[in-house]
Amino acid sequence: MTDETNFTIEVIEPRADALRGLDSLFLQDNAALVQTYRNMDWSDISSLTQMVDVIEQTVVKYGDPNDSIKLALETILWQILRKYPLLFGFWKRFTTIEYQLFGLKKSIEVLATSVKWFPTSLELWCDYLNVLCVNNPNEKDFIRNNFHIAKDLIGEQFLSHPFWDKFIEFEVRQENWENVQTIYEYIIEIPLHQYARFFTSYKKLLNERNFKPKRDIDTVLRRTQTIVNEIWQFESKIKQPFFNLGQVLQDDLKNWSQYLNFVTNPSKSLDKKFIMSIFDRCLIPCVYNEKVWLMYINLLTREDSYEITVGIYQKASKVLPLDFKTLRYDFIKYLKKNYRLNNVLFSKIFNETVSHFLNIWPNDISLMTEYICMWKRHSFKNSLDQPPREILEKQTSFAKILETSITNYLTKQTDPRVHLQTLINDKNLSIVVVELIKTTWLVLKNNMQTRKYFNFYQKNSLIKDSVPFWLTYYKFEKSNVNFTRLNKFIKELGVEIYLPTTIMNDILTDYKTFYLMHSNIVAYETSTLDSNDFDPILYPEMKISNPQYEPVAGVKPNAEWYKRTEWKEAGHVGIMIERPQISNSIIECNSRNLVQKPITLPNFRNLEKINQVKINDLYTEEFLKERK
Amino acid sequence: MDKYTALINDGKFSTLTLNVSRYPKSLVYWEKLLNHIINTSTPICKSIEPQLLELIRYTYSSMLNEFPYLENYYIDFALLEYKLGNVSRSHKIFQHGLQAFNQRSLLLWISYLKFCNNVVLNQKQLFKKYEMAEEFIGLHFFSGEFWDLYLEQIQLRCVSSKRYWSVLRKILEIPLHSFAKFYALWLYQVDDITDLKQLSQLTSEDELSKKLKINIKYSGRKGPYLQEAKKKLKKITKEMYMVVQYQVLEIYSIFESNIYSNYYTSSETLVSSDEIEAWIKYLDYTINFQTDSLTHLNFQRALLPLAHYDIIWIKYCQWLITAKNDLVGAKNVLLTGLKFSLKKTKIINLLYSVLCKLNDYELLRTLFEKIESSYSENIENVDDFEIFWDYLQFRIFYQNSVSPSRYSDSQLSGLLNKELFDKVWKRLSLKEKKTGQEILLNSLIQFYSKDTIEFVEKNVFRKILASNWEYYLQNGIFWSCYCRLIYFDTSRSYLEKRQYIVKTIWPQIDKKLAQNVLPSLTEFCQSYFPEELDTLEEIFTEKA
Repeated sequence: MTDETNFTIEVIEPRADALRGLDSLFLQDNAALVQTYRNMDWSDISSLTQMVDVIEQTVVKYGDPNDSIKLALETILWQILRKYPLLFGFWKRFTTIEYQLFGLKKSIEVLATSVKWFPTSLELWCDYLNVLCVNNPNEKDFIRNNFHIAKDLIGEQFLSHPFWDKFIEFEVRQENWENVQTIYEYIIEIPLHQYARFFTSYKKLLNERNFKPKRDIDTVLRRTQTIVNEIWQFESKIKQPFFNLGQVLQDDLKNWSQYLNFVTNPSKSLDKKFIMSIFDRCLIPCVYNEKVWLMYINLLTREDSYEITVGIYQKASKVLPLDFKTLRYDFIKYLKKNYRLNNVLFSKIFNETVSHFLNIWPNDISLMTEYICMWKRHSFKNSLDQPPREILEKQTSFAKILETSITNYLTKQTDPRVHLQTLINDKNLSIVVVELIKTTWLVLKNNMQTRKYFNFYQKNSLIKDSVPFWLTYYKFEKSNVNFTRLNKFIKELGVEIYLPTTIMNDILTDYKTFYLMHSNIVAYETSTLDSNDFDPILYPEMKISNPQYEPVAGVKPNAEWYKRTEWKEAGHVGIMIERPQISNSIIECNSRNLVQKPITLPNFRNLEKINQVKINDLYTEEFLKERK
Repeated sequence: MDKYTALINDGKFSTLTLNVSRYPKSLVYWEKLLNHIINTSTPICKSIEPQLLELIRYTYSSMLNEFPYLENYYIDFALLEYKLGNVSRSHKIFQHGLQAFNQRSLLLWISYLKFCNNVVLNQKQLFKKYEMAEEFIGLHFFSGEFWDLYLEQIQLRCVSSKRYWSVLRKILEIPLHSFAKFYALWLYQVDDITDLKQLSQLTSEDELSKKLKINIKYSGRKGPYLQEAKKKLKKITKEMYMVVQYQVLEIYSIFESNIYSNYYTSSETLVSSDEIEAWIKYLDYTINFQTDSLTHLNFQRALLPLAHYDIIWIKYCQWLITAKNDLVGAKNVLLTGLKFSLKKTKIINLLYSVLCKLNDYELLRTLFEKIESSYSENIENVDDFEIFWDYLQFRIFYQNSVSPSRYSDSQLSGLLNKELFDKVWKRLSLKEKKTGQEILLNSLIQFYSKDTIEFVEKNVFRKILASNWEYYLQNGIFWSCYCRLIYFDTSRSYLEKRQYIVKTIWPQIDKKLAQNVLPSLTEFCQSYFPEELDTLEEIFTEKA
């Protein structure tokens, strides 16, 4: 495509407010426009349609408005289509609007953009090619070129006969009979809805022009006919072939899935291009359906070419809603697995992909783990055949870069030239720190430095609650069999070090085992002598699922007990109640003693709140309702 | 022929006794036997044949020995002795029964006190019993009946009304199911006051004048003043009533109404999970109230229907340790729990820990022996991995301490102990027939000294390789454990470790098993040396 539109969607996007800078008088006069734009519900197709309606009305009303109004109206449409490029009806209406506002050239440009953003749209291609043929009949090569592009993109679609008619008509007009025959030869193999018509006209052409068919076309006809008959059971059931907001009908989904299963069945040995075109079509209404994308990729990975597969992966990772993770993680796995096929390319794509995913999921720390692994594998390649010095140099430089990156991040001086530094964020910083520590400890074997790192980084608030950091610390002290530090760590869990309870439970269970296997009674008794409230065997046991556990020395029932949450929530966790209470209760006093001296009168606490305390007694309510 | 001979020669009797001896844990057979003996012996009176009586006594006590929580059978037994005039035997049976419940059985106490009302003449002694019962079961949600009995005896036996007032005053504050009744009693009692001076029975003069502005020595016209004082008393009673009513309604609506069985059933009867859940919540609630006697009581109450579930025993033990620092109590609870509970694993595990904390290694050893013998010295064959695993850990800990000087590094003695290591090896050799093999391997590689690593490599990993046990060879975890064993060896340099893993361990893996083994090894590689991922993939893709 040569003729690029002079403003692309990419440029329009940053203009967040399309109405900014418009004349206030205009805004007053067009309250409907302003209101519709401001209240636009992006998830509701009728709201979007209404927006376009209002724009059309405005265009009619002003005829030839000034440039800033034109720009504003255009911008709104770009915004909608940028978000939903598959709304082909909107592209068509946009084209008309552009024609009214700016004239023919720009409207053609819109169509050119439309097929770029929605390349599998039969309608848009037909419109575009039609406009080209009508308005620029002399630019034959340009038009033919576009016909060929369209042929690859939509030529295999079941209902693509209008396109083929147009293509044939174009070549017939040029009297380019050889080309016409080539087209027919191509068409007759495609299972089209109107395959029979093309056969007939091809035969007619052969007769009229006295051409020789390149093969036995009746055999081809039978084969095509069989396929058309087979797929008709699915094609006939497609209710909504176009993209729309909202759910795809269940019946449609079922039908698509059966259709796709049918065509991908290896025993059918259908043409790959044809199968892909069915996926392309399915992915118009089902563009947000991860399963279809996965099926598509599954089909592609069966073949060898990774370029197409990577392309589809990339496309899918862009369009799928952000909470779909399966396909995106699959992509990472795919890249890792095929890294050895073309390590430079795959490492590059891998880096881009991780950057992209970190943009949409900044909280996902596993991405950093994946990244560092690939980075070390690719950029610090070393093998045992190399001299030891070289290997260690690589490792040292790896550790250096890690440390610099961490320091830079912490001092807010990140270097955009170092890819790693662009990826670090508050959440995944700890992963980089852990990698640095692991390298220092296990590879460079510098225990002193390792401990320094542990001491330094645990003070950082970004790392204080990191699970990998503390697990590494725990492993480190375990390998040193340092019970003093381990005991301290276990004691601080849940009190100063906050990790998820399941993780803490695992650590506590593991620590008990580790202690029992590595310690002995003498050491145990010495350690419990020192501190009465901590012991490495029973304490971890009691702390499981109770991270705030304090041995008895810490808590004793006190007068302030009724102020504690546990007391207020007793019996109904989550609902705090100022329970009425007798504060000088005598129920624990035996009558033997009560007789001895006069009993004091009761004092009350929260008596005044007794009527405020209302527990919603659903049970009784529903019981009574049923009785009625 | 006397009744006794007829009975023991009876075919039915022998069937019943046979059943009992064959299934001693089945309550139904015991009940059938007991009923049969008693039916045969009726009428039971003083002239009963001595042999027959012995038989009845023996049956009762054997049955109660098997089922110590059968409250009503203690009562039946005691009353039978009472009927025969053996008062001191009755006392003993009641007391024995109460002991089984740590004195916390409402049913037994009420029966016992009713019995005492008739046989204990000494007022002081009798009230001592009441005071004791009060201490243990006075706060029971259903203890209204007990309090009725108490008040009745006070009225019968005391001249002064002081005790009556005090006891009634205490009852008012207890959240009882039948609390309202006692308020009524109290209000009647207040109404019956005819003299200002009587008010001093209720509380001190000081309190009366401070809180209620009542002066007992009021010198004016006393009639209306007394009426006024009574009004004030009623007001404060009403306030107390509101508070207690609130408590009772809360306890009832959230917990008591969801509890259906308040008595012991044999282990064959299952309790619904809803009810167990209700008990657990009730206990949490009770614990939060920090009234220890009530907490103990409610635990004991929960143990009646739930004696065969480990969860209550464990909860009781945890409470004793956490809140009361009562390790001896915890130990006793666990030991009793061990007898009752059907699931014992967790109780044993906790018991080991408590015993260590108590430094009671004597009992710990006895426990080891008990467990060993209950698996006929082959504990490694037990299906429940936890039992074996806990046993092994504590045995190693114990072993570490017994012979610390035999080896150069004292920390190794536990595992290197031949007897224990044999057990580990035997367990491992059971392969897929038992669970927990991976946990076992994972712990075996957590020894970080040179000697142990060598020992483990030689006696576990190489031995498994030599034995060609497919269960392990196709298990990725086995291989990644092997790699980690070497990788965490502090005595080797980085390159030595890497070299050994890549050049010595990996080549031993059967390439046909790549599918199974690769994921764990890849994970290992990713965490420790991603540089070798290419090598790893190459090894496994060559042939695949």
